[in-house]
Amino acid sequence: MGSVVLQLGHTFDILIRQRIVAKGRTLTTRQRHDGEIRDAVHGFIRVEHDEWRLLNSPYLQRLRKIHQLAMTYLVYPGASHKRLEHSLGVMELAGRVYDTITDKRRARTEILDRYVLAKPKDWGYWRKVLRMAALCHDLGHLPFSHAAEGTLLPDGVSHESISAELILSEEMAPTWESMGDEGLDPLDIAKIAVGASRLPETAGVKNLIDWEILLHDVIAHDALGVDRIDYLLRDSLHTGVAYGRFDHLRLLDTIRILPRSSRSDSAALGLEEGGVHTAESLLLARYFMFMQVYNHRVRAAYDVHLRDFLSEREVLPLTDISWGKLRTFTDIEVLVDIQKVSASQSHSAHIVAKRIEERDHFRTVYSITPQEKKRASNALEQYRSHLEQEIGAANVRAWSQPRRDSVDTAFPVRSSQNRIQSFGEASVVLENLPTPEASLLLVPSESLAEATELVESYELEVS
Amino acid sequence: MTEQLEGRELNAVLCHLVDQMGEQESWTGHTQVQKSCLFLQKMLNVPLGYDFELYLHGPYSFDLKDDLEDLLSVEELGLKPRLGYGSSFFVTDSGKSRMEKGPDFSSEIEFVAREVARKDVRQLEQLSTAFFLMIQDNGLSEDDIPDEVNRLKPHIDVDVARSALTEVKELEKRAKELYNA
Repeated sequence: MGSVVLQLGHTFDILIRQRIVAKGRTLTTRQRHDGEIRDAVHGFIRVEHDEWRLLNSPYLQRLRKIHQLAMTYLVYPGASHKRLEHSLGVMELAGRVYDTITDKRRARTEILDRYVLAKPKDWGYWRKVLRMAALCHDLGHLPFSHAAEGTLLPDGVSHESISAELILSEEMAPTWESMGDEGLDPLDIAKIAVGASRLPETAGVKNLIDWEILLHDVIAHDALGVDRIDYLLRDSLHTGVAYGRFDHLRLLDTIRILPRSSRSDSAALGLEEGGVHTAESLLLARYFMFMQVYNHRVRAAYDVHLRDFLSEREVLPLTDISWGKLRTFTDIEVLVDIQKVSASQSHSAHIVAKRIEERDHFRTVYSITPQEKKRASNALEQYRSHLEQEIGAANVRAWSQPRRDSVDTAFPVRSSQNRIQSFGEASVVLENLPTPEASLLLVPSESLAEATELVESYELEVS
Repeated sequence: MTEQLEGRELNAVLCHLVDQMGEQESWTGHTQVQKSCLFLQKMLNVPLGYDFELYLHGPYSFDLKDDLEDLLSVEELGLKPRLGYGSSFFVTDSGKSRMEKGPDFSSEIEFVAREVARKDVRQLEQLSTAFFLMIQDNGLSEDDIPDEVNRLKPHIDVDVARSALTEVKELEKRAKELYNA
């Protein structure tokens, strides 16, 4: 642990020195770090003055009330960690990756010159923007994170787009204006936090410049993004599922901005060859965490019960997703409501609330397999319709992994001979690694025996 | 307006496109398939239904990436590593039988496979970015597009972007002739 602290201190010293060079003057109180937070995953997270203020704002504090893994704590009791600590972890890692990819000693200078190093006064600005964006990337999460997002929100709205709306809102404007010497542009923060497609129309931004996309990728890249790195490590630690661990320090140290390929002039986040094994272990960790935790059958059942409960208690899809609504729409309010409704038979959501309170969850009767999906891509719908006819629609629930989560392994890797190849080419391990995916049908425990027989006797129509 | 393709019909069109790209000796990597789908949907009006956004190598659809992954997982498409850089998609036997059951967009697919898919990634980035800015509701005039390409992607010179735009307009003219034929 001591060496980690020293390493962080060293990184911070470099950052401060570069900041002095960039600004050509001594530090002010505002630029000094204001403190550190002891984090279960990353040791000490240094928090600068402006970040500290943002952290103490109600927008960030709200994330203390949203479980990172919804009701997974009903399966893995340790999984009670919240979005706030994940957001801090993402901020910390984003800063570390930024320092690595802009380090002249390690980077391809022709690429960096094109972007940031040609404008040294921007170095500190973009670092600050990136860390703020990382801290804010999950601001828009609804109660229980991803579990009920698809049910609660209208089409085209996501927690990312709500995060962008909040960052750009009038409520948060004074926070940004008072930061740094000249303030931070909230539009820059929103762009880096969520990317172009999740920005509101009113932002008037259709496209990001390459530099902004690269910084957004530092957070959101599907293989190397720090969002994923942090949640795998953190969820693994809190669930006690050790499969989620990998050598992230090595990974962070080998991330670079590289040419996309030897035939392309465009740049992308990539890796030094020395990081290939740890990137492989990240992708394996991700696969195992999906199979063991995120797609766990009982966890899925509670997602379904939560959605059913919220469908009864809210007018859906939500039309008001303003700060006024979000401020008091967290896991705490929903949990109190579940408890209240479970005790009162007059409520329409009484039964489902009771199921959650008394841990009487639905059971899995069918889980689609890759072989069956090959035979009939609509297998789940066929079984669902058959079961609904036989035991009633109210007794059948479907659950699918909220987001498809495939990884583009075409990112560049630089060999020791300075040759660029794709990660897919450099890695022999990943050739047969499947994309984690799960679709389930669930029924009440009292109907399980009958439903199982119905599934077993059903003849699937091959498509 | 033709109804948006979904499920098996969409898979059939994607398999058909990959098959034709192979016939035309395209590299048929991720970039070629992404950009070919952009032109197929936005220039030839094949209703694939993807949302594209400008990414590091030109317009990109994350939903299309997931759909290609799905097609690999059900083994209707395969990926073979190629010497040099990256991998190429190919259509498996089951993909070929899927392809035959799909709607007929043969002319459009052949046009894109012939005119777009054979280009290398550098050319595709230039061409697709110019095209994307041309069709996007962004208030830019055609004269503004080369400068905007260069602003967004500093490694593409204004003159190169201007040539790419000219090529796109020529391509669009030929596509319209095909579409109206």
